[in-house]
Amino acid sequence: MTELYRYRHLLIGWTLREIKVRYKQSLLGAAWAVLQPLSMMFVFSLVFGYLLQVPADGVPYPIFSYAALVPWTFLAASITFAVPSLVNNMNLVTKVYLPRQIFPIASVAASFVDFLIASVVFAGMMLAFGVAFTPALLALPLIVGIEIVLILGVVLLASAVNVFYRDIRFVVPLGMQLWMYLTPIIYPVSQVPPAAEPYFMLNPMAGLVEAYRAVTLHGRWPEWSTLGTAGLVSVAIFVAGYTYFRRTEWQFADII
Amino acid sequence: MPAVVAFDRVSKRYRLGASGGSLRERLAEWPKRFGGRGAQPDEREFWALRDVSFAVERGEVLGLIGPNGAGKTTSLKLLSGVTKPTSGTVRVKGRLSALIELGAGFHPELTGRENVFLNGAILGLSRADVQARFDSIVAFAELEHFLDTPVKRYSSGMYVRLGFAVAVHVDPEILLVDEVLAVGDIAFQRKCLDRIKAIRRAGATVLFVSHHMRTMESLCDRIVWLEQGRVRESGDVKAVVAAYTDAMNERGNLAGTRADGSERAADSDVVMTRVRVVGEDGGEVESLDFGSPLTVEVSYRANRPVIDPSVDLAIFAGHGPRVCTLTTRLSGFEIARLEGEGVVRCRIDTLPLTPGRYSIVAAIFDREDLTMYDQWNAAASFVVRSRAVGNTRWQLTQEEHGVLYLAPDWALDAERVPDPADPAASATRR
Repeated sequence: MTELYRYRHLLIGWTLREIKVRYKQSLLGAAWAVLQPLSMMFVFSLVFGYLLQVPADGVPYPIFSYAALVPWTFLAASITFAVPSLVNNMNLVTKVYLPRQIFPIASVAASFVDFLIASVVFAGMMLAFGVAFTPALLALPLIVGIEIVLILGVVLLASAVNVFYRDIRFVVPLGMQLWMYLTPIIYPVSQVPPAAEPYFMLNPMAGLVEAYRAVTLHGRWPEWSTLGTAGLVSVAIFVAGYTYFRRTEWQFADII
Repeated sequence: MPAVVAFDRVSKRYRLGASGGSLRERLAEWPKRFGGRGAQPDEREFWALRDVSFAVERGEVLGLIGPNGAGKTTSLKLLSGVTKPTSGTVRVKGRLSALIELGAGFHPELTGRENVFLNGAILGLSRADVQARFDSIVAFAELEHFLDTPVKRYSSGMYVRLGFAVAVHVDPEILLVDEVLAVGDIAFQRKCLDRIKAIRRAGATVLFVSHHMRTMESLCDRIVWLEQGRVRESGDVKAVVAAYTDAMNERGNLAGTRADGSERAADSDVVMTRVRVVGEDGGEVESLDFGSPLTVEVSYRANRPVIDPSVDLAIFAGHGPRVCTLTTRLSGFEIARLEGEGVVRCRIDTLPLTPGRYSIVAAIFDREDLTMYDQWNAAASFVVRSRAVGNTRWQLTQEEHGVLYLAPDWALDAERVPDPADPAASATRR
C-alpha cells in the first residue's frame, strides 16, 4: 500500500490516460458514460416497465431501473476494462518494475469518473420525477465505498487470472450477463420468493442496489443487515482477490 | 554494509510451454494428472540461472559478460524486480534505473513526449520533476522532432536513445544497462558511455552488460562471466576478459560485433581472433607517447584458404569521427594468400595523432574489396599520452586542437614587411 502511494503519480497519470483513450476510441466520447445506462433504461422501461408491467416498489419504472443501472454500469465497465488491462500492458510489465495493480486500479478509477457523471444525470432525473432529496443520501459514500471494495476485489482477481488463462475474458461478458439477471435491477427484491431471499442477498450487488434505491428513491436509511452482508462479502472478495494478485504478480513477467 | 546489490545463491527456472494457456487446455489436462500417469517431468523446464552469487559495492561498475543465453538479461530482470528468483535472494538497496532489452517501459501507442513522462513516473518522479528535466532529456536523445510521434514508429536506435536519456536523467543510485547500446550509432554510444562514467563519478553503482570487450575494460571495475546460468569466472577485468576472449575463440565464437552491431560469423573464410596495439617490445600496450611509433597486430585464423584479401584498419577518434583508414591494399602490401593462423602487423613510425583516446575497427576484405570476411568493431583502443611539445605552455589535446599534429617546417621572410597603416613606422623597422 505504501508502495502505491510512492507511485501515485503513475497511478494518476495512467488513470487520466485510460480516460483519454476510452473517449478517443468511441464516437460519442464522454457522452458514452451517460448514454450506456440511459439507453438501457429506455429499453428496460419499454419492455419490462410498460409491456410486462413489472412492479417497481411504487416508483416510476424508468427511475427505478436507472437507480440500479448506474452502480451496475460502474461494476460492469470496470470489470470489462480491467480484466484485460494486465495482458494489454504486458510489454511494460515484463520490462520494468512497477506495482502491477496500477493497471486494473486505473481502469476502475476511470470507470468511477463515468459513474460520477452518470450520478449527476441521475440527480437531474430525481428532480424531473419529483423525488425528494433526504438526509438518507448521506449514506451514499458508505454504499459507494463498499461497491468500490467489491469491484477492486473482483478486478484484481480476474485480471490476474486472465494473465494465466487468457480465455477468461470470454467468460467475463457471459458472467456479467448472468450476474445482472441475478441482481434486482430489472425487478424489485420484493419479487423474490421469501424462501430464496437469504441466498439471493448473498449476492453483494443485490444488497448494494437495494441500498442505493432505498436511500435515493425512498428517502430512507438502508437495511443495515443486508448492507452489512453485502459489505462482508465484498471485503471477503477483496481480500481473496488482493492476496491472489500479490502472490502471483511476480509470475506475470515470466508468462510471455 | 557497502554492498548495494547482492545475489545470494540465486536460481531462476522458467517453464516453457506454460505461457498463458487456456482454461480449456488446463481442464483437459486434469484427467491426465489423476489418471495414474504420475508426475510428468515438467514440460520442458529451463534453468536460466543456477546458484549465482555476487555482490556489487556502492560506486562500483560491474560488467556482466557471457554468450547469449547465459543469463545476463535474466539477472538484470531479477535485479529490477520484474520477476522473482525461484530460489535464493536478490538484494537491492537504492533507487534503480534500468534499460533492459529495448524500450524499458515504453508504451508503443503513446508519443515520445508522453512516454518520457510515463517513464519518469515509473521511476518515481512527479510530473514536475520530469518537466524540469524534460528539455535536457530531449536534447540528450536528439529527438526534438519526433516527440509527438507514437513510439511504435521509432527505429530501434531512437528507442534506445530516448530510453537511455530518461534512464540517466533520474539521478539513479543504481543503473542497469543491458546490451542495448549496441543498437545506437557510434556517436551516441560514446555519449552514453561518457554519461555512464559521469554517473559513476557521482557515486552511483552501475551494472553493465555488453559484448564490447574494450568498453568493458575501460569502464568496469570488476567483471562477472556468466555461462549457462552459472558464474564461470569473476574478478579482475583484464584477466576475465582475456580468458573469455580465448574461450570464445577456442569455441569458434567470436567476441565483439561488426560495426552495425550484427554478429560476427565465426565460420567465415577468415576471421580475426585478436587485435592488439603493441609496444616496441612486442607486448600489448594501452597508451603511447605522443609522436611514438604505433604498431597494430591483427591475429587471424583462416578456416579456408583466402586469396588476395585486404586487411583494413580504421582509426576513430574518441567522439566518433574517423581519423584515417589504413589498408594493405592502399599501401600496396600484397597478401597473396591467407591460410591457417598468423599475424598481420601494421606499423607507423611516428604517429601524428594528438593526445586523446582512439579506437580501431578492423576488417578483412575479399579480393574485390566488396565483401568483408570479418569486421570487428572497437577491436582495440589506445590512448596517446600528452607530452610537452615545443615551447608551449598548454597541452595539445584531440578535443581542442584536432586529431592531427603534422610537424611542419615554418619560415619567416622578414626582408620587407610593409605596414599599410603607417609607412613611416615600417621604415624604422629595419
